Amino acid sequence: MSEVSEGVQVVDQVATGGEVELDGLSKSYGTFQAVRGVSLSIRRGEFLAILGPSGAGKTTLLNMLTGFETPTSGAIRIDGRDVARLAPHKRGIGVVFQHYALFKHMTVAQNVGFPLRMRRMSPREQRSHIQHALELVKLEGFAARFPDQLSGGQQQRVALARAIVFRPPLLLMDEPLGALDKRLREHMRVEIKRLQRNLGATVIYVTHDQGEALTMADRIAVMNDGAVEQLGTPDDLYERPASAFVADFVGETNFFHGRTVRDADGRVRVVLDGDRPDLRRETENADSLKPDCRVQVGVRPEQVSLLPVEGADGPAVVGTVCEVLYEGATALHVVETAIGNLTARLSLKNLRETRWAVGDQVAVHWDARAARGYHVADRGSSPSS
Amino acid sequence: MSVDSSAERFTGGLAARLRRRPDRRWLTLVPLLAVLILLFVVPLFSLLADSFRSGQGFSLENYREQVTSPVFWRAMRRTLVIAALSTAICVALGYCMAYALTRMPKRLRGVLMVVVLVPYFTSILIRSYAWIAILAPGGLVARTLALVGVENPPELVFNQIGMLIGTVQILLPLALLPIYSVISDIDRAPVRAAQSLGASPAVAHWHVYRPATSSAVLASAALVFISTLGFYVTPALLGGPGDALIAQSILVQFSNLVDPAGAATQAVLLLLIVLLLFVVLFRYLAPSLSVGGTESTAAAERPGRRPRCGGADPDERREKLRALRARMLDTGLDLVGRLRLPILLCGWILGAALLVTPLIVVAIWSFSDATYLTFPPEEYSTRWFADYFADEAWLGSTFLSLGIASTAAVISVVIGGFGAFGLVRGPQRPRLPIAILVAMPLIVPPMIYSLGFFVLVAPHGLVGTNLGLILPYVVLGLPFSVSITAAALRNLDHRLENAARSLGAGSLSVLRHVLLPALRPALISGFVFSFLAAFDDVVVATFMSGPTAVTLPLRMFQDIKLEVSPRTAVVAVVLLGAGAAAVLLRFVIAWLVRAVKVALSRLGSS
Repeated sequence: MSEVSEGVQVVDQVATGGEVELDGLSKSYGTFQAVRGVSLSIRRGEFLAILGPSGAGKTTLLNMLTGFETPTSGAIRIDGRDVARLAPHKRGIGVVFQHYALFKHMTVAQNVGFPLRMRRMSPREQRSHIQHALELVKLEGFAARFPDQLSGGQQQRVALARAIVFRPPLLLMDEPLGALDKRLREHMRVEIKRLQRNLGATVIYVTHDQGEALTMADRIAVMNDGAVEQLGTPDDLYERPASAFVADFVGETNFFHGRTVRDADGRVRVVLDGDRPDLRRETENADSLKPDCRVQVGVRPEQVSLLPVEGADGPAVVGTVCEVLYEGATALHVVETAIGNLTARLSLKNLRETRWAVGDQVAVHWDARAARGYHVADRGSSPSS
Repeated sequence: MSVDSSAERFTGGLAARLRRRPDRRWLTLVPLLAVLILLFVVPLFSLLADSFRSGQGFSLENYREQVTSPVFWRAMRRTLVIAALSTAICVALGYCMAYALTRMPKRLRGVLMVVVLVPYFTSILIRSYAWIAILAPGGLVARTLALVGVENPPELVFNQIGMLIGTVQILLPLALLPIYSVISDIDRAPVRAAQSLGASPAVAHWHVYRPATSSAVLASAALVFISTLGFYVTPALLGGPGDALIAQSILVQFSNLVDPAGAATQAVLLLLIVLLLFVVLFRYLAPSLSVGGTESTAAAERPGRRPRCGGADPDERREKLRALRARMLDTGLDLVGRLRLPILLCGWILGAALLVTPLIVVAIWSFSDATYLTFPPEEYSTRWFADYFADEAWLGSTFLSLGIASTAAVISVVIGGFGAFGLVRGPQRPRLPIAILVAMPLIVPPMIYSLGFFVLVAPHGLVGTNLGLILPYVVLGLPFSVSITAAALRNLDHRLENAARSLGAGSLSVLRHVLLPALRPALISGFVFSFLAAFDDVVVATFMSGPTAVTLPLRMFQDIKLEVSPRTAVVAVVLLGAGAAAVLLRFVIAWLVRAVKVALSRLGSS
């Protein structure tokens, strides 16, 4: 049994993560394409989050990685070896399942020792590995307990220990924090990140929680409709979303509809619907926009400022505050304007002098560098450039 | 926390008002307990008293006689062997089939469930009888073998082989259904986890899936084993003259040897074994009792020894041996895992053939022209149908059985319904004992109970009367009507009743407007099960039928014992046809109502 001896070698030698490459991975069920040509390469020891709404194809992608679905086409290479058509138990990938999937009838030690047992490791060796894994997740004293005698967070750690105990080249996590409450979730983020860094493990972390992805991942792949919409570092993604979808899904964004025009100086600017027709607004990504197209302009709420109407200059639009939601450090202001309703998240520290109340008239302003334009599929006119 | 307390505060006034009046809900338990004690417990105790009776008052003479009798021991050993064998086969086959069912696409699952359920609801008598037509000389198997050229086929019926085949066929659904109901709810994620951790599918199944199913398997094994211990009809029809099981032996002792005390002693001994098994296996059987208790189920969920782990094990050699054994097991499992598809497929083919063949054979045989057993029939006619519909004795028995069974079922549903309410909503403490008592008529072999009941009531002229048949049938129906209604009640939010009360409804109005509509499906299926328990019975009828009141199953049983003719097949087909027609009629009526509604709405819109 060659795969078994390989498994043992994995335990003995490889202490760091492997290099993983997904190459044109696709899966279709009949005419429905669940995953369309996903290609990603994940560096040794990298933490990659796959972020997307439900139905984006995350689960199918994950099932192909674990081996419970066979890809229609494409390859999964771990350290150069294509595992896409191997049975799940021959892949040697560590998986942390959504609801932990612990073995209820086994103790914590038996749960953690299961992969070692499957790799025919001697009981004595098993014990030291189990001990070490439990130390890593800070559950030293819990070896003899049963899973249902543990709290949710502790069960989560057992699942983690079980997935890392055999030092897999790749660690997959499927919404591992989904079942925990908010405080614990935030705590476990730090724990998992620490563990990953200590082990140098290569991690693919599937989630629909953008907060988890932003705080933990080295890079994030945002999936939509079966394909990767954008791949980048968290700040890349947040500050320079590649599409309206990413802008909307990662963080909050105000969208305004408008039309691009080429100005006399050759720059492409945007005239917003409902705005003063002579007001041409700059966008940060003007170079990539085509003139004479329908676009959406996205501005993050924290980039919007509200000023007194008197003495407002530049490209401002006047509106009425219609709702103020207190959030603690910030307050969310909903403003009704001619270009549509928008929200502004204002830091209360800066608002000490002028607090806005419902009914106040304000001038809405944002910095040109904070606005990004996104082309809208337009049925009327085609872009002419 | 805050939600809870506010809810409490909200209903507090109501609860206080209810508390001021004493809680009289336990009163609904009274009829149930009265019936069970008077008609079930008292007969069993009178049997116990009889077993100690001999010439000069109280003595252990009867026990000494039975315990030293080789005939009794042979019957007992035969019973235990047959029970063990049929349990093993039923559970293995049932597990295989139930597991295959859970892995199938939904639509196929529905079709195959019909294959399991139709035989389950068909009379035991008819199914046993069909095996004669299949296995006896001149029957299906013999004729098929003759075609191939085997002239002297092995004897397959009127011996222990026939008995075993018949028993397995009859109890297979009983083994399969509880296993299926448990394993269809099992989360498959841990199995996947095991596979991702390096276990091949079969190894993952063994280490992760099997432990989760083991209590269900034990429960169904216990159920099958206990049922087989008291089996009468199937062994009596398919066994040979020297193959009597213990239930037959009791009857022979009573009626042929006219030794009521000896019969009572044998019955008590069998009862002891059954009750002992019940006690030992209680924690596995408890989930199927009508108790809401979570404690016993939790205990059943994690059976077996607590594995020692984590601590230091000094004996290195023993540990190595254990590791070696585990390795051998895993290698074996890998091998089995490769064969899992053929194994599951073979299991289903065998199981489905066992379950369905008798029904098909009976249907064909009813159109036979012959007066003796040949299957497949050489000539076809409807003469046996004409014969049945012209025979007043047979028609009389049919209507008698229909009347008695439905009366008993109605009474059992009413008493059982109120009893279930008392059980679920009434006082907490007596729940478990009452639930055990209610399950007992299902656990205690009918032969024992019938004997006790007969001996008790015979002096009072109840034998041969309708009442004498209805009363024990009510008792036999109660386990079904109570457990089904109780399960439905537990799923019903009790705040509905409180809400109705707070809106001004009295007890009767709550019953009429809240409970009855919600419980209607449960009451109907309770009626169906109680009806079938009575309509399918031979044993009680053997004791309680008089010369004028012969129930249909008893007449069929006696007819088969006398000569193997297609007559019983005709009755079976008529009954099956009537049942199917009733089900069909429901659908047709529902369809008609819908069609009329659609037509009316179209008329209105145009």
